[in-house]
Amino acid sequence: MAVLHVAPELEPVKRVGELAGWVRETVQSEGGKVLLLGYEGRRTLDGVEVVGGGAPPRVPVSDVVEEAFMELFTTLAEAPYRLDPSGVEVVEGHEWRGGLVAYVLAKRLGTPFRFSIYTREEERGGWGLVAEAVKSVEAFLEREADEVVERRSGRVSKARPAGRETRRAECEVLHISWEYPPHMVGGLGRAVTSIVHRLSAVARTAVLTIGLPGRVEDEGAGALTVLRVDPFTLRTTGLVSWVYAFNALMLAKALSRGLRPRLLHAHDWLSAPAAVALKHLLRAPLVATIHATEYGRSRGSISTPMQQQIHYWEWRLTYEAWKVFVCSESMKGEVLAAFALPSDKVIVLPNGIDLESFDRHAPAPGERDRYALPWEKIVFFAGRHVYDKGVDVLIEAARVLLSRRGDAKFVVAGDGPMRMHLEWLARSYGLGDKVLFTGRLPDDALYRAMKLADVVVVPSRYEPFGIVALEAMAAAKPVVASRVGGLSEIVVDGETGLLVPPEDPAALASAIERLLDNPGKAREMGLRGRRRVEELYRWDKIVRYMRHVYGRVLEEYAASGWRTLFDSMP
Amino acid sequence: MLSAPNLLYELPVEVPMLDPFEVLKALHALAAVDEVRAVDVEKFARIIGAPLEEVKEVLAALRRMDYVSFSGGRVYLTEIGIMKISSLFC
Repeated sequence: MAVLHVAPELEPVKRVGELAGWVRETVQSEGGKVLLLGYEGRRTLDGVEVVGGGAPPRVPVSDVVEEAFMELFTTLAEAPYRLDPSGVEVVEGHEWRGGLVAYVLAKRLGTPFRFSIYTREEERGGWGLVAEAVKSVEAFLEREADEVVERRSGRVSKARPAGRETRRAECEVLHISWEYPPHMVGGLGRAVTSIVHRLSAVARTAVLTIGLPGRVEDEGAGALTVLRVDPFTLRTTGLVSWVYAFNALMLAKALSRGLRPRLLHAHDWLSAPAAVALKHLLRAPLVATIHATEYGRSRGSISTPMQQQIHYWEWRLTYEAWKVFVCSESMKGEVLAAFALPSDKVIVLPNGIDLESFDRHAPAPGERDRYALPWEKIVFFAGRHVYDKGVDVLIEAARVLLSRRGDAKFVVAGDGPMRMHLEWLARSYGLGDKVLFTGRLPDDALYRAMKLADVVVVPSRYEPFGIVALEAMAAAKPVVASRVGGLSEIVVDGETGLLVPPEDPAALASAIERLLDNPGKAREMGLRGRRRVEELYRWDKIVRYMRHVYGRVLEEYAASGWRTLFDSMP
Repeated sequence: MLSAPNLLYELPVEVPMLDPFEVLKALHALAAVDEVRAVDVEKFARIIGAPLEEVKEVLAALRRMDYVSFSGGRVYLTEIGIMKISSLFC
């Protein structure tokens, strides 16, 4: 049987510890060929072909788990150009790092996966989150393998339970997104949902995504298929390795379900590792949407390993993509500056509003009483409680405004890392009964609450687009927003709302007060905002243009002559 | 009025040594996200290398904010807790 060995070490080519020698012995006894991880060259060793999987990018990582996942995605993107898979009958992964790559490659090549274990993390005596993550990967690979070989004892077991997932899923366009119901975090998930529902009316569409505990089932089989993975299948070491882990699971799922899309569409860095690997493993053109960048969030300061890895994947995604969609002119400038892309690669396509769905949610009688007293005017904010959203600036503005008048009530919807601090801030200013933190509201409750507002405030420091401003306009509400990013394109100053400098509580308070003092003018602004949304921000128009771009990409792809060594594989 | 959890009022005035958000992130990394995958509190303290009493104190505060839940002596993130972590990324 022709074995493809996938190993992190091999004596004498690449040696870190004893494993290199043990792998050499196994390879000598079994024959086959070797895919050596983290190695650039190609050579023959005792008649065995050794192919390097490619050097990982020079991006700092925090631990060995992040390093292993970087190695996984690097190798999967390189393998189709380095490795001739013809004749391979089994893919064997040596130790957990080799096992991860072998597990995914076996799915692409349609062969059994053999997992070779020499020592377990338990025996190595590891401790802490890293050790827990490695143990979890080892256990996962043992469960998933068709055959497990404990090399030191020689024990062989068939660990894979019968009834593997073989039902094929078909699609023309595959969207890859970490946000999709039920895992909805910010505006990205709503955008993807709106796009794929419209797209599936004209092209068979699939979404590759993650679920939440207890809600990880796949859905649909016709025009729109949703494939979900459980993002907590593996233990990880932190947020970045968690993203890598669910990307590896998404990738394996797409391959095991036999997806062969004509086009891939990935959203943000959180789906980039899977998207880039699928592009090369399936030779399918990739387009990307960049909803926000780490460069923008950090004001150009990329320093920690986490930031550098996020920045790397954002760059890689835009580099690999045929076309890159961004949601505003401001974001286009940011993406061009951060990733040095050619200007004609980046297309501005705003997010939209599903007006039909939005209009269905009307406040119930008495619902206003949940938020404010009858004589209080509602100043409404919705968003994640993170620094970029400027919720602290709003609290400062509330302090200024409430020192002048007592008829305003600030309703702050959402949650996030800064929530405790913000609640403390409001309380320390003596605003406990004038600032209501509602916590995270589901979409229907959020839309109803927004329709009860007198003014909607978007005080962001950084905002690629500003979907909340658009929703407020759809609700015919005047908007007071910071003059940053996409907000300064969505809100027409003096027409549909008022723009103020970011981080200026006094200016924010004054703008809110102008609208509270002039309800007639505020109402007119709200109505003009609604008309602007109806004209410019309808999803059907946006998706129609997106399909036009897809068509151009597919034409260019057809004429490209792009080939890989995996093309002969089904 | 909505019954928003204003649990900060119930927290001790002193800032605990252990960052509550780091505790949430550690539970997230350990995939302690439901009753089945909950982690033993003592084992959790050992894994993150923090004093047990301090860990218990922070977990109690996080429980009052609905970010974690307990099943016997084991702890796991609620859906609100999971989403709080996810909200870092968008």
